[in-house]
Amino acid sequence: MEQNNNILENKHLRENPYKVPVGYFSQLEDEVNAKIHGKASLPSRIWMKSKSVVVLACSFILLWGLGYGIFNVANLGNKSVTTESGLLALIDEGYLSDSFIEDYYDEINLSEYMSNFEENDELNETTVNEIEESMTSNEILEYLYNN
Amino acid sequence: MEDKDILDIYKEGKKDYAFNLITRKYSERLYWHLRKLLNSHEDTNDILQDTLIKVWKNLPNYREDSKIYTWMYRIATNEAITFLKRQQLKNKLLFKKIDNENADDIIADPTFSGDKAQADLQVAINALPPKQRAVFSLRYFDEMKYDDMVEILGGTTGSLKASYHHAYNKVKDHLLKVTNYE
Repeated sequence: MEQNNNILENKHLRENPYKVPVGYFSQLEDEVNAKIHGKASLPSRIWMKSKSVVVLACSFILLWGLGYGIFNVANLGNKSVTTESGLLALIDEGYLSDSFIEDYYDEINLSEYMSNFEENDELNETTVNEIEESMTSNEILEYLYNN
Repeated sequence: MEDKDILDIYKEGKKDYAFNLITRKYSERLYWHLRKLLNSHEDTNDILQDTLIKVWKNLPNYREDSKIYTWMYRIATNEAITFLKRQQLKNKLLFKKIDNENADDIIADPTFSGDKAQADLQVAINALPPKQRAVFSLRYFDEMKYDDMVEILGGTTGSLKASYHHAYNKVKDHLLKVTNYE
């Protein structure tokens, strides 16, 4: 019991168990003086001064890249719209969350609708003009009702 | 050379020469103090160099109300405590395993030449909060008086004694656990 209480009083535990690399203290003075008087290599100095800015810039670029990548993968605003099965695959693979799809699915469908409408715009206008010239008002109404 | 003579040389304008004299006189003692707190040679080297650079920058403001060594010791200890706190926070945020968490890690370090008992002791010290680690190291290894410790760490002799008492018991309990004493 007494030995237990005195375990830390073992003199051996107070001895220094560490070694230092050979020649360390003799070169320490030169290294510190080089830092104080700015005699470190130019690239090293530039890096030391700009490190935090570079790291911050890289973080923003990475975040932007991730956002851009996700946007392109989801193809929001692109005429070649990702199919529903493609979107589900992205969810399964963990690239997109369900909530993301819920929020933007209408926009995806709207984009597809708009792109289809734009491609057929000229044809629809021509068809309407031809119909208007050849049909009576009642026939037009009937046509619109059926189409 | 006495500190007073070194300071006189500094005041004569031979600042680089005086600073180098201070570095040669005290850097080894500071190194070993930091090494016991930080374990790794690389971290110790970084903090020691930061300390010496701070000493250089603040020598014009050194007020001679404490000995040069006590002043340098204070800078070095605070640098080490700040470093340890930053490291602990970083490890928590990144869910990273703390280096030297067990005796095998410490023994694997090529600059560690101690035995298992000394490695176990270091593991126990590493588990202490940074300031408590400093208190334990200064008292246990350097046998520093509490009055001198107050100059380095601040606080009161009472609070430092309590801190050491807690640290001592924690370290002792850890050693008893790993050595399986009854």
